[in-house]
Amino acid sequence: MLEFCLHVLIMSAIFGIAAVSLNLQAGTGGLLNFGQIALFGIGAYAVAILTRAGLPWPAALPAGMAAAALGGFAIGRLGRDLAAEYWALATLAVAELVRLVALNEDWLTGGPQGIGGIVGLFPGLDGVARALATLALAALLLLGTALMARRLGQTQFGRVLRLMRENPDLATALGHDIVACKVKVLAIGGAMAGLAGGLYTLYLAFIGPDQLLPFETFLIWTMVVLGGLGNVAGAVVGAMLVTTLYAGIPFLKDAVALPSDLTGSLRVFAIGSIVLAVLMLKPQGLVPERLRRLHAQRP
Amino acid sequence: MTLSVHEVRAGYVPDADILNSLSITVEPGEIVTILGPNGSGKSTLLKTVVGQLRPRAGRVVADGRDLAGIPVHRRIRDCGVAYVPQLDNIFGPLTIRENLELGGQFVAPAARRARLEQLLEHYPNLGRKAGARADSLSGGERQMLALARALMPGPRHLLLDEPSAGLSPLMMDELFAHIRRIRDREGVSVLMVEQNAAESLEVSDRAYVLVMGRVHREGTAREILEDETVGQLYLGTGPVH
Ligand SMILES: Nc1ncnc2c1ncn2[C@@H]1O[C@H](COP(=O)(O)OP(=O)(O)OP(=O)(O)O)[C@@H](O)[C@H]1O
Ligand SMILES: [Mg+2]
Repeated sequence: MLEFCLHVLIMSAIFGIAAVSLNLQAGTGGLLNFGQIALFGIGAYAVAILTRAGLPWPAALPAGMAAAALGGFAIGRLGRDLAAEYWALATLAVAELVRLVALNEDWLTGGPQGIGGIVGLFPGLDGVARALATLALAALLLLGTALMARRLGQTQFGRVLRLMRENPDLATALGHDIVACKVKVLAIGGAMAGLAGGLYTLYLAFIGPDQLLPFETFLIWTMVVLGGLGNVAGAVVGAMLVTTLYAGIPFLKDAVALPSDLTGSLRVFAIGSIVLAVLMLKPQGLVPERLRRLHAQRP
Repeated sequence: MTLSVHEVRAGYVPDADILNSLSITVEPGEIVTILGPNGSGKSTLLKTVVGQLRPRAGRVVADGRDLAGIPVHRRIRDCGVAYVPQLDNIFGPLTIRENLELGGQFVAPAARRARLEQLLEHYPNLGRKAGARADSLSGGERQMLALARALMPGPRHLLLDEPSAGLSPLMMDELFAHIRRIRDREGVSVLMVEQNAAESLEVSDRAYVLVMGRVHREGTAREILEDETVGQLYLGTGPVH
């Protein structure tokens, strides 16, 4: 039970990072990235490939972040002239492309079997001690990512991102290059998602193409929407909630003896219902975006 | 320092020109008003000058430089063309100070700070509330904020789309007087679209009347003010047949 709880917390922290990244792109910048899992996947595979080649994880992780940042940069450049809706569809296509490459380029990615047997985090520790150390690392990185995202939201760049989301024509008329902003936020978001992907690989000592299904992007979106678009704390809360639910349902299955082929559908059903309920009761999400504190009247 | 539009054709959908071979000129330091019925293409003209709409034919020239191929976000920076749109021209959730900063992003930090303080002095109403959310301002104050923000980078040409829309008569007079002061102080030329013909002509040097995307009438502000058809259209003063 303790190990299960630690597992859920570690996964929450990892997906929390991915959700904070998506929140920066979609919540702050208004960019409908439906290919978030591709950035996660690029980081995950880069770390897997590099550690397999013998690189220690403290070096592989930043390299995975850089690879994913490059991926974000490319996605941002790719559709720079597309209208927002078409760009959103393009990101979905790019994510599928990344998954197909992972599935088919056996020499690099291990094909359908993926890459396993990775020397994970803290190989010197076992069992609960190892899980605790992993949790501490993941939580620390989540905290760092969240603080950075929050700080970024408060800078001039963050304000330009929000203006770009609300009123792109005004932003350009004021001299802001919104294509450059878009590419920049995707590169930063890419690095964050790559960090999450890299941690995921290191924690599970495995990555495979099935981890890159569009459904995973949907899960990360769910976390962000549940928590409240535009709010960093919301993304973290949403990630915890969805991860717990997602991991908890098989647990529930054992408790009430449900047939195991039902658990997959039950997960999707449960998550869908919660999203609907939250959106009906609190359309802004559990922790809504606060653009300015209430004492803003002070001169 | 002249802003001019030469024989421009432009529109939103293929084969439907909203502007038909339209030509206008704004001389340095001039205030020029564009009048015209709803849908005559006044806003479209300003959008074409800032580059949100690409002309199908003709040229937009600022200070001798053809603006074709200069992206919208470079036009304020490189060509000194500032634009205050008709609607949604401030960013409500941010403070007044932050709104002003958004207008001077590419000005060097020291110069930007100095400019910001200078503008807050010129606009005491905004200065007093510099830390308040922009959406707590009244309609008139919002227009002032949008104007002040457009002035942040020290533009040479100011495009204003219906700056007096929705203002009380008192506020309106104040706004137009203010536009004139800006022109005198900053030496900018002003091209403004207006529905309140009499009041805007009062502070203008020249004016154009647009009908169906063409220049229907042009002249000095006085000439247009005294023109009978314009009077009929806008001022309710012309003879009724
Ligand atoms: N984004 C758009 N897409 C398609 N057509 C448009 C668009 N904006 C304006 N139009 C059309 O272009 C024509 C001119 O519009 P424009 O906004 O320039 O008029 P206007 O003179 O500014 O009118 P108003 O006094 O109502 O502001 C109108 O027929 C309008 O329907
Ligand atoms: Mg208009």
